[in-house]
Amino acid sequence: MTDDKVYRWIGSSPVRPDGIDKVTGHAAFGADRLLPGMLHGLILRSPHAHARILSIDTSAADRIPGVLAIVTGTDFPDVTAAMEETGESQIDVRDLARNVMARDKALYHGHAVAAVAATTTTIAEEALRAIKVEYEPLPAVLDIESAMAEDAPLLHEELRTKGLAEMPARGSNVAAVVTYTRGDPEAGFAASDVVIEREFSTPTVHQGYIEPHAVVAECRPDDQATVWCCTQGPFVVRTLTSKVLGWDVSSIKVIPSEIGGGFGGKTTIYLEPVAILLARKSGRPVKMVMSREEVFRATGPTSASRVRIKLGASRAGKILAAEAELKYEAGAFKGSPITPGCMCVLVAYDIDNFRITGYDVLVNKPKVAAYRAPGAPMAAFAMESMVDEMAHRLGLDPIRFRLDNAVREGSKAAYGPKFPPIGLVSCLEQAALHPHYQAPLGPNQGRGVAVGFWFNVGMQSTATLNVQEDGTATVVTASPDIGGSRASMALMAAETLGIAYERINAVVGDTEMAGYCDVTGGSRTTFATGMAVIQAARDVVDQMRRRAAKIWGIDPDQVTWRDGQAIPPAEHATEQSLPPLDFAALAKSAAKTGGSFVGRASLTAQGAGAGFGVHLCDVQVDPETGKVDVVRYTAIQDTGKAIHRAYVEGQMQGGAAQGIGWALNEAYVYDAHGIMENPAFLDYRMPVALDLPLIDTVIVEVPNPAHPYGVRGVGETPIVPPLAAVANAVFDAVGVRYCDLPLNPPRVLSGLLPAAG
Amino acid sequence: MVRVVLGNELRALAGGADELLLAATDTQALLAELRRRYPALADHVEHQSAIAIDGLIHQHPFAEPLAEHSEIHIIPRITAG
Amino acid sequence: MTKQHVLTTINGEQTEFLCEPQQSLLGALREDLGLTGTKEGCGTGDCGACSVIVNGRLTCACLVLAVEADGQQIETIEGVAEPQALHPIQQQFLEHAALQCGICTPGLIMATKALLEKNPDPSEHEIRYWLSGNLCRCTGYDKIVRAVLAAAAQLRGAEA
Ligand code: FES
Ligand code: FES
Repeated sequence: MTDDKVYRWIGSSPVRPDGIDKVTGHAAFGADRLLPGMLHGLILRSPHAHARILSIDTSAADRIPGVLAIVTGTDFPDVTAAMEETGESQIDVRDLARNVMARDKALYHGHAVAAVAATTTTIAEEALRAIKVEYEPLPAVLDIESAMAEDAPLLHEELRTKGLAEMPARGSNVAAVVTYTRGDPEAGFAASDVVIEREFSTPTVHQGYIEPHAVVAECRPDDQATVWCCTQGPFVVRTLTSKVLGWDVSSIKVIPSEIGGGFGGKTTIYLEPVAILLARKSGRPVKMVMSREEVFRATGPTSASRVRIKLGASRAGKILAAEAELKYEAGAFKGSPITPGCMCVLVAYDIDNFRITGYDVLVNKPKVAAYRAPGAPMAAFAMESMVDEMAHRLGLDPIRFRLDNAVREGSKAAYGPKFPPIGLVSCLEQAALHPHYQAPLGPNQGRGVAVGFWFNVGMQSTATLNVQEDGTATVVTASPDIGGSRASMALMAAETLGIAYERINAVVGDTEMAGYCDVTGGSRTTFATGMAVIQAARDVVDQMRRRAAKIWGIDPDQVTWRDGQAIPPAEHATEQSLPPLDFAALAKSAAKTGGSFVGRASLTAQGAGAGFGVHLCDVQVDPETGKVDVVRYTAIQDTGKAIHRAYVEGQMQGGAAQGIGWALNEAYVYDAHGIMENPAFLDYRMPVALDLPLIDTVIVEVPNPAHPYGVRGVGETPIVPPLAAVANAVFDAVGVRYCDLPLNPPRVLSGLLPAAG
Repeated sequence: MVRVVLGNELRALAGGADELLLAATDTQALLAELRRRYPALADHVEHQSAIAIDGLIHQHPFAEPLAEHSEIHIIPRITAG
Repeated sequence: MTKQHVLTTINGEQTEFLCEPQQSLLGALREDLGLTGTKEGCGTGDCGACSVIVNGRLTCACLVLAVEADGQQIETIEGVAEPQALHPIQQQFLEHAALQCGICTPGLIMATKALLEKNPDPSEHEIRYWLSGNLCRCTGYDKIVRAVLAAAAQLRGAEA
């Protein structure tokens, strides 16, 4: 099923409105702002993974000439309120504040404990060395097993596990237990002909955006602050910063810079409140830019995981029962993506009997942040590996086996509701038919298939459309453009208005100039902000129809809008007295006919459409070294209507590449004390151009009924399948089922050796 | 009457029921009805949940219309990555 | 600390500046000369966001001291386009949607320029090899490689 409506602009791939700035170096990213008198701020970070902070003495640092401000935890209000409503949902402000600046305990190596602002970076570095912090080191918990052990040292003594039948009396490092059940799993396993069970693990990995976090803050004497920063959501920065500082939101203005990648990692805050306090203390603008090492040690990563899956199926190839146990590391504060992990783990299959249990586990590592389809890739790695193994055990083609068990419209999702129209079956069919799936394999090569899913989300968006007197229009939203969203906004506006794409500019506004938008994330921007843009464009069309009616002296209902023109009813047109008035003519005469046109729309988008994808991966394994090369890759995905085709393909390719990195090389390596040993791109090995083949894409467009043009969202699903697609391909190549990522040469080789011996 | 289907994780908040039949024509009325009968469940829905109405997920429902026999699922809100 | 005087040529223009002895060329370009088109992704020579061309050689500006720029010819992203026209590499990056966030783009354009000056007709493999010092986290490189192939073809056509 695809959408075959004919569009003039939607589905094309024009050059983006901000293109020239991006290829000439003019686009200003987070660290590119320079202000007169600007100070440089740096953060002092804990050298221990777990320690009580006994005292901080800043007096020596204070005396260094050129040091103009120092802040520590006590300069921040002691936020005690726990859960607070923010725009999007509830967040624990106390945890957020303590992650921004430690108060009594440092909870991971790299946790911020103090900050300085000085006239030069060199002086700021000297000041950091002069700050004396007295620590009482505490035993650190560094993995899921030791964190869950009976007598484990506790990160937060007061924390009680949520989700148990009764509130436990004792503290724990398990912040929450999540369960989903359906039917009778025991009976399902008893009825199965084949039952398999394995445990999988994935390491801590980072989003790896190339642009480090950066902020410039100014603070006026009346405590009005302006923050310029690279973020996925200026309004979210404003909300979170205001909560941490205890200020009103209206006293903080956030200007989003261009953003050099986020992938979820820039949906929260780290530096912003610190920079504001330093600016306030010093009376000067303060710039803070993280080093790459700080980015690794103190921001972003996503959970290391352990996932155990038990699967039962009939000889005929029907999955009859499943049991999944997921344990995700949250880092130093609760809140791993365990819930979406549990919701996603079995989501692609129609299974009558299952039990899913998830654990949110605290460890002395940085607090995890959202990362592209948070929680889904690790769950899919385990499940898709098991599905592959089951197909193999049953002697069935892996796509056929998946088709026989796949969810479709009307199937009950593992998390409850029945699916509206979805594209999993179409994607699987496309995969089976794709030349890639039929192509012969060479020696030491193998082919893997895996499915991925993401919900996609809606949330709040606002758009304004200003019509200029030369017949052009400017779309203003506060959704930062991370992957070409200005172009998709302009395309949807052009389509709705019926004017040329080139006549539309799309800009990203700040928290004073644009209406509220939630983050660019959750694959929501083209869907939700796009919906607002379409409504704002319809608002303009409506105003133009009424204006034309006024000019013609007829009833507005008689005026239709077609191809960018107001068209009078037939009886007037045939008299030739009323030629149509087009967009440009109406715009030009606006000043004389009642004022300019401004369209606006504000909404909470509902009905985000689930996105399924299927990836095909061919690898070649070097039996001598264990090195795995991805030699062919195809990503197939139901994106709903693709607005800007090339950027939709780009999301699919980029997600696949990130997932391949996760599968093959990326991992935080910790020493016994909880210190990350590879905080640099040299040793934290992300895919480079030479590591990847061209990535073929097939866009399946099952329209989302909730969006005017059928958009679902695209960005997150493509990172979900690659982990298992790669591992399944390696299995196909060498006959070894690897359950622990990454599949780097030493690991692959160690798996090959016993087989060879 | 709309049918609210409760997953195992929510049943304790509704006295163990796995399904509720409620009279409501939109989600605002639904929440009011929940608040009257199961205040803890209403709190949970208001602060932490999305609502799927006949399969379509409403992340922050306010007064979404409900059909005569709509099937409602209460699911966790998904955050953006 | 006494500042050092540096006399260099940037994008064909004689440029003088003062810098601290330990300052990187990247720092001088960005902080002192306001040429922020050259980006910093790591500061350790691993990402290529800071790629500039020094005397015709592709160089990580974060690994060069600012004082070492004395007497050299430096090209940065700001000097690639003509006043009225983009360079074919820039044009092809746009047309092939070879950038998403765009933070890696200035570095990749400089690396491509250095490549095509050396090898006007690179294969896909040669492109991937040459660009392996430039990390892009958004695109998966597919569209970048295609843009470079197209730019190479266009430049060869222009010369022919
Ligand atoms: S900033 Fe120079 S290589 Fe990364
Ligand atoms: S486009 Fe974002 S890093 Fe390359």
